[in-house]
Amino acid sequence: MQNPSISTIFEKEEGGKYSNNALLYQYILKYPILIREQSTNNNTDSNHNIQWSLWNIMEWLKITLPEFKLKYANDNISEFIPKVRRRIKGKLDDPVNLELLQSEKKKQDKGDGTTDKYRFTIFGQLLGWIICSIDFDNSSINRREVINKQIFNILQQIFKTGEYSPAIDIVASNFISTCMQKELFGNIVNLLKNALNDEEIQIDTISDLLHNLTTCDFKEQNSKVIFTKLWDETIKGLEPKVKELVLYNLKLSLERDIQNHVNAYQLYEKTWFDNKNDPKIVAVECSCTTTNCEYYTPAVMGLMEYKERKFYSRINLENLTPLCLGIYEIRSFTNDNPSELSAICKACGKGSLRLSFPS
Amino acid sequence: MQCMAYGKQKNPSIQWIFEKDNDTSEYYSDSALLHQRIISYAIELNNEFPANGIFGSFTTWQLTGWLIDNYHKYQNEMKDIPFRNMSRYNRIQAKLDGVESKVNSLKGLDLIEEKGMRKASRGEKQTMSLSFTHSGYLLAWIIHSFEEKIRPASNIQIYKVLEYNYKDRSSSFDLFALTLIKKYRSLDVFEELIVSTLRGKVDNPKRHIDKMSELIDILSIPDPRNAKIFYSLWIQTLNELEENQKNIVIQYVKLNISKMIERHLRYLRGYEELRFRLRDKPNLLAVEGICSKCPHPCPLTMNLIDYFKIEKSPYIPSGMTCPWCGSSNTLSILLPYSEW
Repeated sequence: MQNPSISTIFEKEEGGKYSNNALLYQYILKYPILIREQSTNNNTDSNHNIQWSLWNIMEWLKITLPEFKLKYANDNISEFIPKVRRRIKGKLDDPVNLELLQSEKKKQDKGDGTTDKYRFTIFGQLLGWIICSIDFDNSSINRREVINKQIFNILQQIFKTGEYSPAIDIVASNFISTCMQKELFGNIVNLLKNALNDEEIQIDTISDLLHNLTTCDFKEQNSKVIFTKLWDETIKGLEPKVKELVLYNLKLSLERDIQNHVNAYQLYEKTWFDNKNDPKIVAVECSCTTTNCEYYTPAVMGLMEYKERKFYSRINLENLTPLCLGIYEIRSFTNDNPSELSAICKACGKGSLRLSFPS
Repeated sequence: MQCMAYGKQKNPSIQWIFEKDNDTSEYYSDSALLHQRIISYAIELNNEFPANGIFGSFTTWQLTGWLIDNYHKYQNEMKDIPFRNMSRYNRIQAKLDGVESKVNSLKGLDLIEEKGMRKASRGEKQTMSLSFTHSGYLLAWIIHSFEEKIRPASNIQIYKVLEYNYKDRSSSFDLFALTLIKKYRSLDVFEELIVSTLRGKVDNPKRHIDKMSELIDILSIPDPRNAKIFYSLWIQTLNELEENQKNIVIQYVKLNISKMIERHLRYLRGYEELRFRLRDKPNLLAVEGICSKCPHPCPLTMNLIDYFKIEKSPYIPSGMTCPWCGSSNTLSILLPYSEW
């Protein structure tokens, strides 16, 4: 038995259609959005975070979920509920475990018993709107803009920018604001949608989903270039105190990866230790390009330059559009090859030094 | 949104190899058992850790043939229809894809590596030659060590892999770790402090071990149950190093612990600010305390050496005042690895 996972909500059958269980999850997540739209005539700006019971959603699913509409068309509600109650209850437990739904025991309207009342968390609301966005992929621009605005507002609530906010949240918040200002926020929504729909990407939790946003993990290389550049510019534009924290966190993470691939440990560790205090630089190891010259030397490099070199080492320039090639032209390093450095090997005097990037 | 800061896309994980049927089950899933059996093939190929550190190579075809003879689930399946009347060639062919997919995940975990193409044993086709890595071999012996009677042999081989790798890399930390495991062996506590710890960590459903390097890193941090003996040997070994090596080791261990603490924080911003302020002090560690009265989380500074003395989690340091409510001695520190 597997733990509940966000990917289950987007599970597909052979042929690419969502499975019946996936659609059931998706309708549950859309419930507060659609119920409000149905009752207030398309007023999507209203607060949709209502509280509801198992009974409420079962009634609604009977008339809304295509599978139930077809299968139980001739059943009245009292015939329908015993047939689906267990299945729907199970599908509510998983979102509760995934922190998409909150449940609390409340006194029943009639009698002395208690009943579970449900309310979506901010993460459940986010997923609900992303599912709406998938449904309305081919709808009017206005409709998509309304949905994108909802997703933007929710992300702004998730990534708060206060005094106590983690540095990464502040970067993420500023980044999505910049995307909104530049009318590129639709691409961010697409990034999240594609990650959810991609069967090769396992997304267990909401933090896995949002990680795609912070790594600008677009499949398409041009988008990767544009949004990684925007992300880096966002870091550069942070207030100094937050920027230091972001850079230091990045430094720790990059150096951890580099350390696992170092060849001349004793040399490297001294440079690494001597430069441990500066968040703007990263300790790297360079090797010689000449065959048979096994010269390894440590060096320090600007963190943002290293990050940029590492990024472009994985980009095929031939696939870039003129716009992205223009972005590439204003990179911080001058070499054509991101791994190459403008320094001659001290050992053989022939080759130049190069970086290798851990995967 | 604190949880996302250190989230990541799902890659193959060591956890898969020890996955249980469900949260409460004590039985490994079929997928985990197949992974484990594949890793055991490392011992079939090299019963002893080779002095030159180079393991014998194999192909997925050879491995699948071995599994058909040595993996109980496949052995049982072969007795029944449709396998019963199949030739050995067809049996291997039928199981090849499933084994290949598991081999690919083990490659992703750096437990198996590609050694280049070679001619297949039959026909003219080329096939990929594979080999277990040192991590793969280490894990094979950790798995074997679950069986008590094989434990003495496992301990010897686990020692040899660790010794070879610590010698091979020669960083200050490797020199430190090598001296430490030598001490463990001479005092006859290697099984207790290393092998038992490794077993406990890979097999605990609460663990978060994705890579073998994380598993090895944990060996530098005391298990609270063994804190006393670990601490005294740790300090003794550390003091044998030169001053600059000592600082590098402390910094390395400090960052390893810090990485584990990150996963359990409630107040990330406070923690990252304190960690940043302490970046030039290798002997001081940023930790998080939770006040039992108010009950706010608050970042605290601890001497790394004192942190190693902690024998019980949660730990309540004396003389600390909660900055939020002003109460004394109400802050408790949770060791991030205490559940191990």
